[in-house]
Amino acid sequence: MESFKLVMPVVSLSVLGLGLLMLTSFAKVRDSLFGKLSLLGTVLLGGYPVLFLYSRGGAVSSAAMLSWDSLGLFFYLVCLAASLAAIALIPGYFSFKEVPGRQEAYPLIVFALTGMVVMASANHFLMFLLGLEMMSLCFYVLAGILREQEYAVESSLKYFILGVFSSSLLILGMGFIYGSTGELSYARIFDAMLTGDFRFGEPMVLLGFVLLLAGLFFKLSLVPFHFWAPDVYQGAPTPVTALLSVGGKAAALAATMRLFLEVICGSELLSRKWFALFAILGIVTVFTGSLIALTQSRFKRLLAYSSIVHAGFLALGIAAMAGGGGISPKAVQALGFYAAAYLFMNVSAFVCAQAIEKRSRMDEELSSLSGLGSTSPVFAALLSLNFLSLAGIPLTAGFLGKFYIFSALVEQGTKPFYWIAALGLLGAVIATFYYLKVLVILYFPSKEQIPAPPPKMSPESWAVLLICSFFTVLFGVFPGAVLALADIVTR
Amino acid sequence: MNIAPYLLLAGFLFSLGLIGALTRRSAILVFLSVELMLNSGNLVFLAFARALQDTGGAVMVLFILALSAAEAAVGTAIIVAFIRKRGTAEIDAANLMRW
Repeated sequence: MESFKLVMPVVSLSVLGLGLLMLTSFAKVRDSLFGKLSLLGTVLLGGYPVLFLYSRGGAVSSAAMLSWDSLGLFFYLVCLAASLAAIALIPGYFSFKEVPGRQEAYPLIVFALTGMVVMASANHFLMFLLGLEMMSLCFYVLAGILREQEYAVESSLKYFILGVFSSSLLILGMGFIYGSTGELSYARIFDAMLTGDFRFGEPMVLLGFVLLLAGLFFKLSLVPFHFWAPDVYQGAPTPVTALLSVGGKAAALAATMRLFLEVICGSELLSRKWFALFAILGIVTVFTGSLIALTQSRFKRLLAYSSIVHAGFLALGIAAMAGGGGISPKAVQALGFYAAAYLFMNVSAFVCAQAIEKRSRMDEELSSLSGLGSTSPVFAALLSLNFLSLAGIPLTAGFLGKFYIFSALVEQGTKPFYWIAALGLLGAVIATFYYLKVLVILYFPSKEQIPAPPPKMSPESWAVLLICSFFTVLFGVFPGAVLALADIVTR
Repeated sequence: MNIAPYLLLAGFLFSLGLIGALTRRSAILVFLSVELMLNSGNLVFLAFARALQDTGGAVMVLFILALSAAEAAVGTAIIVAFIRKRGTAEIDAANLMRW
């Protein structure tokens, strides 16, 4: 029974994925029905394990290489929500008449979800690598699933080559850590770190961790590793972009957090050294992302740079988590809350991107939003709400996310942390500009611009947009529920 | 066991792959170079597994081999789709999106 609990989420999701795959090949299910079936299946077979495990207080095992603890289950929920949104958005995005045989998109999303939850829960290098690759391989295919579109194929190729490149760094890093400590599971590596008895000296462990983190930074799209993000985000089908910007990032964040909580933070040798690295990367990412975003004139690319900026804030949160020597529970909670807030506001923003985009370029100029405030008031209001949340205006979840991260930084109480918090705030201010630019285009069109026609949206898209916007506001005013779930260390 | 030669060979393979990935213009050759980098990771794992007399690293290698096979399948499919669209496998042809 105990061992069944451990593998149940993976088995359940794999059965769902394989079942859907069989349906695509052997049964001629109508497209509209198939979408609903996938959604229902993911709610049931994806949702049941997480409820079951929550009710049993999780399950941890080093033998099974998985730990469904509060960290794993929290990010399971985030990734599940992102996948559900993507599945719901797909029918409104491409009809399957237009691209025959593309029903595989649904099972691929389910397999990507399996990879994400494995990655978030792995406490062993082998499982971590398998989860990461399972997720990435599905993303490469999903990005190029509209293979008649030049932009989609190009984004898929770029994502694939850079993704494999980053995995090879990651694997090499794991190899060096394995060589120095002789272990692959996080708990054992932690023990080896405590004794500090490395077979090949300290530099090799450090090199290993640098390479490993470089691979993770790529998935998080932190600045020196962010070049793929704008191109992939633009070229990939918008529901897929929403999934890989939210789910992929959340899974990479969870894996990084677990590395810190279970391996790095306990070791005097490592924990303090990473504070500076993450702080500097975070600040550089926030500034670079914001400044480039200011120059963007297209909607999805703007969102891509915005997601790079948000990754920068996540890096600042990791700096707060690890910097004080030992783990700051408050920073861990802040990171969890930020991930949840980012989920809701970013998915809504991509629903809006999907509504206005032109298929020929997989994107749309910002100017085509002009005057939607008068021609399509509900759409414009929801879009502005989520952009205000992304910018971090009070009464939205996005504001509280930034607020918790910065208060965790300040709470560390030493000078470098104050500096970083100040610089981060400055970056956040620059970041508001480009969000507000969009609001100005929405509500104050220039005279010569003809107001844009109202965007066409499927009922599912409206549902996703409304639900996500509702949560953006709800958790901005009553953050208690998410905070309780995200209170990962003390639970 | 002296593992220095194995690590040096792995380092050599890795650099070779890195140089290839950065300088080659054909998507297929870039992909091949990246696979070389992956394999240098494999060699590192195997060398350490041998030196430590531990099977863990060797098992990792088996899984990484399976992963790189899956990657090769997906990768060639993507490159074929790209060639069909553009008529060439040159990386420079992937220039629709910049900045």
